Amino acid sequence: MTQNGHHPRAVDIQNISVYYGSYRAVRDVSIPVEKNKITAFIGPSGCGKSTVLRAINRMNDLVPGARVEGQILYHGRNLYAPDVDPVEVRRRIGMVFQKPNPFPKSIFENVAYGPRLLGVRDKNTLKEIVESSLKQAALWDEVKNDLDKSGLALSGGQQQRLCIARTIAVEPDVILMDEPCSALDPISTQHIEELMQELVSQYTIIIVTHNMQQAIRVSDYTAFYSIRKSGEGKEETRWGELVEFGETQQIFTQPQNAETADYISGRFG
Amino acid sequence: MTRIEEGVFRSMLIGRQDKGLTMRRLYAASFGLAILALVLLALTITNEAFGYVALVYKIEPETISDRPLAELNETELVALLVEKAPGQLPKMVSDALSPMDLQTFARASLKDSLAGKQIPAEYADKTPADIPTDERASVMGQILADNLTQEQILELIEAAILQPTVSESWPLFEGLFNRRAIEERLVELFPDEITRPELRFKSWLRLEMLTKPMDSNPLVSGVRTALLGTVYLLIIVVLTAFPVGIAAAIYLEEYADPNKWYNRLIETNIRNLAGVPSIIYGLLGLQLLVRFMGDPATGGLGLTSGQAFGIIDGTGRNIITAGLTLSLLVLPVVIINAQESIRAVPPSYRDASYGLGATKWQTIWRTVLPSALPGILTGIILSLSRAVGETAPLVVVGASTFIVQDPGLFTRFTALPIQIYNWTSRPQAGFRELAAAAIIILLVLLVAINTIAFVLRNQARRRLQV
Repeated sequence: MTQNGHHPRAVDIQNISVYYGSYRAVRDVSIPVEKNKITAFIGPSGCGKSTVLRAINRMNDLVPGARVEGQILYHGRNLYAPDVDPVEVRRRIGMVFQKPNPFPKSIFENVAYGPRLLGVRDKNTLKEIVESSLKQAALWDEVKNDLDKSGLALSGGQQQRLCIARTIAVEPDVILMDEPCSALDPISTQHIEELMQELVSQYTIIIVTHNMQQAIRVSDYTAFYSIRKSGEGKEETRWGELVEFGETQQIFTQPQNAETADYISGRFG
Repeated sequence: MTRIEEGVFRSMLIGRQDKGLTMRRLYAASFGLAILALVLLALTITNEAFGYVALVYKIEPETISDRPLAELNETELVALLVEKAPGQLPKMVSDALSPMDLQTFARASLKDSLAGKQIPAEYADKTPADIPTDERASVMGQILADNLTQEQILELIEAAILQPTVSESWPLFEGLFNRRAIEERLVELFPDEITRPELRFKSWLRLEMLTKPMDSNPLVSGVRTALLGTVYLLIIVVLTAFPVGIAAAIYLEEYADPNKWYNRLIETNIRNLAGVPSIIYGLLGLQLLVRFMGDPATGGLGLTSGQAFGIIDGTGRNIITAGLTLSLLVLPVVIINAQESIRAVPPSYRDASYGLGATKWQTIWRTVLPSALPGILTGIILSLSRAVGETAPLVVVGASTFIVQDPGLFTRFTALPIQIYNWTSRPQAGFRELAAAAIIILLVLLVAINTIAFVLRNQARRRLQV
């Protein structure tokens, strides 16, 4: 499952539905994700944007009963084909989580964790990987003298950048970010946003965000999701759907859909 | 509009604060009660393990020497030994100075059997058996006098000639605070003033208890064999219950599907098993390990009794079966505790690991287990403490009460709690006190184990926090 380079889209989500048991949480989502661009997923809580994100690197497989219909192409290959190993998918498509979650290990060990999993044993190689990853994550200058310190001793923003460095260390080409700044203060948020702008030259980034200003600031494309309902009372079921997808500029200035317009102008959600 | 009335709020505020104060006092009282219980325990044990005794000698010290024995020097003391107990001298030398047993010692040259010790040069090449009988005692005495201190020789005289026995014993506090009653009792027991023994302070807890085997005389009896038995039992528990328990916990938490009815049934049952009385485990051990897997003479498989490994006279009532029984006993607690610890690992650690392309096993081994380790070690502390103190299952499995030889894996055995239990029920003076001393040794062992586990746990915890 190596990238062949000819495919213009890093990830092509084609008509997927995500089920939890018999409950269809997200229906019929299709999003073409361009290479070396930042795509933002926005929408109200419960609209399924995180669910779709976690479907892309098959993290949903870890939830008992979760199932995906439709296909997600990664450089032209279906990630849900029977011969695809989710362990390899997650290495190629890295993920940064909502709450910074460094391991209770040293900064060095946090970044070296991934490469070690993949069989890198040589001390010097590990050192190189750790240094370059921390540099890419704009954290090196702050921690280069404290690599033995616990990752948990860092501030929230530094922890999140450590998590980004950890993700970069296994050399993915897509990075999924699930509300990476929701637990951070504005200055740390700004650091992460600047970092994303630097990283996008080498990586394809998909970010879920609740902050529409953030989507406008960082993303090239935006997908707007919303909640659909059917039935009343106890019969009521809710699911998430993609409402509109397009260039960020267009979504926020000339939304094609009335619901999108309401949401971005703050009338609901 | 306000719906919370100011007056009601005010009047209730005092009551609310008072309630807090009352509860705080209750908690303090509970804590005080616990401390009191501990102090009482310590006092009781001290009271028993130290005390006063009236010793009666088989041969009175005054009858063998004009001067008090404590004032005699090594040579004079040895002369007494040579005179009164000539036949026992080779054994004394062998026991005190040679690593060999008596048979080997008798046939080995002195320079071999007593390497590094002072020996008369003219006898260096001879074996004790070579030395003419009439010279042997004095040669052996000479060796004792050259190599032992005065106190050591004094002890030999006590054991070989004087042979004191405890006629009557009193606990420490009675001896300290009620001396008069004891003196009266002594007069009553020994009306004749000349033969009346003198009241002596006695510490039943002696360092030699650790190295001396059991004896029918409480004055010289030790706990070596029981202590070894307990240590072997612990090693078996550590080697079997912990790997199996932790592995089972990993399976239940990480692999077993909690929605399947049989997995839920198994979990519920493990929880119930943790509360089953220990004697039931003794019965299980007796039936399964001692009988079914044990002695072929009674229809067993010969696995735990050693026949399968070429041991001829094994019965299945040994360290192996007892250790495995204790393992079964602590297994549920180990499993439950390890499960709780594994469950307490934040899901975000797992997410992070999987997100980097870790397999399930890598995630468990590199992230889940290191994070769960402090909790797992806490469970191990509790389980080991329980295993050390268990008596009932050992009685059922067939622990012996009087073992003089160091136990092997397939031999008969005893353990500290068994020994204590046995001693407390003996009628002769001195054994209850000896039991108290053994309890102190058991407690020290327990504290030592817990300290090791505590240090390990804190190291594991520090590694997580840095």
